Amino acid sequence: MNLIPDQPILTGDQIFPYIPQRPPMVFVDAFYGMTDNAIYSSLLVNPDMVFVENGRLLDIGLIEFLTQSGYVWFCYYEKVVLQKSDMEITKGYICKIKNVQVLNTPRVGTRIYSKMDVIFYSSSFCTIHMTAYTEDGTLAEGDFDVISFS
Amino acid sequence: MLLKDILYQILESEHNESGIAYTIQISDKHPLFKGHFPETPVLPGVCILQIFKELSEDALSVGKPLQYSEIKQCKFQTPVLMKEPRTMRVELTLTPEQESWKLSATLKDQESVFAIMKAVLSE
Repeated sequence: MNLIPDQPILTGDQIFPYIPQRPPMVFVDAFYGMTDNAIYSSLLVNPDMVFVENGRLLDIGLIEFLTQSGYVWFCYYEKVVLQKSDMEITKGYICKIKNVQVLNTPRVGTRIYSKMDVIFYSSSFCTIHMTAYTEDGTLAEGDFDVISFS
Repeated sequence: MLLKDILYQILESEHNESGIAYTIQISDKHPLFKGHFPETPVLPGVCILQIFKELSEDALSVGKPLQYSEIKQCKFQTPVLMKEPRTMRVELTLTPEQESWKLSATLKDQESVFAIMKAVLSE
């Protein structure tokens, strides 16, 4: 059973200091921090999103949501937890994804959640296991390597 | 298709021993580049996945959208910087399974390989 987190610590534009993406490429709208040794984020799927087609968020939208969820944590950890206040939010991108399973895609109007387990972390690279889900079950999961560059 | 004729256009395609190869031109004018990233436009990795998927739909003539059921591995080896339109080559090998297709795909130009993927597509 996947946890449905409440009380986000960042919402909407408050997330912008922790990701390099800007609309229309922002695919996370709430960040909950760490609960029970995992990190959680979420996104309300709306009809105007660039990766929505026929009323559903496409598989690639789910993957972008998982990637950005990981990147919010990556930068939040550097800036807030490690207190690197002068850290510049550099451009991050997926350098490798593997073992990604897509089971379902969410409809417009659904709030989707991500759970992240950190497998490896350094200041320029991390490997994370991500799961996307709703109250009704798992949508997708897989391993992501995220790298940042200036 | 979500991105075909909007983000990219097919210039030509050719069948070869291992599958089918497309030459595409990617536009630098799509609105998504305003947000990815505001000062340094980069083709999002997920758009590469979508281009692979849409060209697979074109190659298979399935007539309906395909979906990734599994991505075994995808390496994004070099960021695709989009300061101007770019001509790229996409090489696909599609192998039918029971109700799906195994896909091997590569995005490259004359100088670099940008992405290599192995995945499973289904209807």
